[in-house]
Amino acid sequence: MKMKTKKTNVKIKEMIFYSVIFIILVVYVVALCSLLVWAVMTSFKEQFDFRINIIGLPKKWVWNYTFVYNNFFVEIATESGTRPVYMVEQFYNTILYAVGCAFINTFVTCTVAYLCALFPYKFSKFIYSLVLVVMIIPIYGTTAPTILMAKRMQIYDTIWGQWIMKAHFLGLPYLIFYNTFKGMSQELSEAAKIDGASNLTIYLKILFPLAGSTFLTFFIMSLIGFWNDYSVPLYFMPSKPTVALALLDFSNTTELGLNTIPMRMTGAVLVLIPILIVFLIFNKRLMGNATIGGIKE
Amino acid sequence: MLKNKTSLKAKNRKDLIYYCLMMALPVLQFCVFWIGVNINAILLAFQKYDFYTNTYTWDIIGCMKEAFETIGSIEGFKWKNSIIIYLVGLVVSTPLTLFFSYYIAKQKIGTSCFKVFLYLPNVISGVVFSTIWIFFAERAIPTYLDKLLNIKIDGLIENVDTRFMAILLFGMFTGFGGGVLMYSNAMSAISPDIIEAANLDGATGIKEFWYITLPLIYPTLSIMIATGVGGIFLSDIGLYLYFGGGAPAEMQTFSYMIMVDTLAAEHPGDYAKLASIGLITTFVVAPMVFGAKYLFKKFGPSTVD
Repeated sequence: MKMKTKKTNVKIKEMIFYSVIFIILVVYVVALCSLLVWAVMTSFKEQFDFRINIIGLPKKWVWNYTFVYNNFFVEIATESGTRPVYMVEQFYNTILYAVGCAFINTFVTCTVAYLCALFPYKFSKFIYSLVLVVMIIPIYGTTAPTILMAKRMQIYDTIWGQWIMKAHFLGLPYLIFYNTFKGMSQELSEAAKIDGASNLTIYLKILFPLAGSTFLTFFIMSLIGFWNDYSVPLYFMPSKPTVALALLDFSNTTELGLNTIPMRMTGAVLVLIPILIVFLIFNKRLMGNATIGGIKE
Repeated sequence: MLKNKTSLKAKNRKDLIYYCLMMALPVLQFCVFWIGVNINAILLAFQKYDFYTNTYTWDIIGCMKEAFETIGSIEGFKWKNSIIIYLVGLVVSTPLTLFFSYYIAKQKIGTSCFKVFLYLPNVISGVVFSTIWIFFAERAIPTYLDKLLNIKIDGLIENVDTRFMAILLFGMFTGFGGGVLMYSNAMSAISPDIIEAANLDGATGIKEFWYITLPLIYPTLSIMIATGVGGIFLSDIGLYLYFGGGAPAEMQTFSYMIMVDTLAAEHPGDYAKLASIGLITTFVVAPMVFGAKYLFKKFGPSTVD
């Protein structure tokens, strides 16, 4: 009888524990949804409607997106004065920056990890240890020297300069790619070697496709990171504003017609939509595949 | 036999040439943009820029003195803000992240939905969130409170008393995602046999979390907390996103101050001063991080009897 009561008490405590966390998570989800739904709703309002109806549905649904897309600009300094950069160009800069940096960074990391995993030279071990050491050592305050170096190398304020700067192999993805290539069966590549295939052909046509899933996962994660990044464009590409950097300017704009809250919410939603679509398509891959010490789902 | 040896040598030479060619560019990039940048940062930290001759001159003691004076002259409240941000992250955010991760690792009700929403802020740009939050906190929250609970308050961002906490807590609110994913995956990797044995011994719920799960994910947790010690200097609640270069003085942090100074840097002398401050920061933070790692290793739970 005592045992039964004890077991029941434990079960009740467990239920309370999980219930409390459940309630907190529900509140979290509701709060996050309210924020995003409010932003989207506000983006469909006129300024007057917003003033008298801050939290309700729009009294009259207005399509602000075309106006913001066509009219919002950021002014950049040029040799001859200033020049406006509209959203078309901002998206163009963002796609070049995000896709280019994500692809180059992921490809270089994958390639170096493949070389270290499948070519057991001493240098490979050195590279592996180097990556671990760099991950552990905290180094701060290198932004200013990096800007200076970029200016000296004439790659400052260029998107291709960022491609070069992101062509490194440091970080966690290296370790995951390394384990991926180490765990691959070498039968296919050995058979290809016997047939006379070169190392490069084996890598590009056999091994790289086998690591394709991991590559795609890290590419998408990097793409999202670079798309949302405002600090690197702010420091290194001031005259090539990306949408994230431009939105920072938009929050404080005084341009007539654009300086209202509905317009600012429209701008925010415009920047949000492309990456939200990517997330909705690839969310299982993003949340399930690349792990640290966890199992794959 | 000789033919085989020769062809093996040729093959090995081919592999080595291929390896060297493929490694060349990434290694060169590393040498320039990691080794080169860090060496440049160290050298720059000990040089002053002479505006008359447009050259850098060595002045080790002068540079360090100036950097220490700059750090020493930083108002106390900036350090206080940095420490508050770090402590809120450590004391509030980390435990909540662990509890959420445990819930998700246990695949309880609504796990799939919660996982998506916890990770969503990682996908949405900080600029988007700050843009929405400024106006939501200023207009929508006071309106909601007024209409639903008849409570009248000022906008949370304009109000001097509430803006720091409003921005800090929002940063925490949107910062769970990466940690939850990482910890929940680490918790999922715990052997089911251990969990089963613990459950048979009556350790479920909180007891399982405290006595089994936490010790087994301790390596992951300790690394995150130890490396986060540097957050005292780096912690920032995204002030630049909300205020640009003009954040109210009482809200500023050390990290924000460095960011604004870096953006405002025009002359080579400015970069040298920032490099000096960065070097001192590294020499302060690195021992703190290694020390924290050592302490966690020494005093943490052992999974080996």
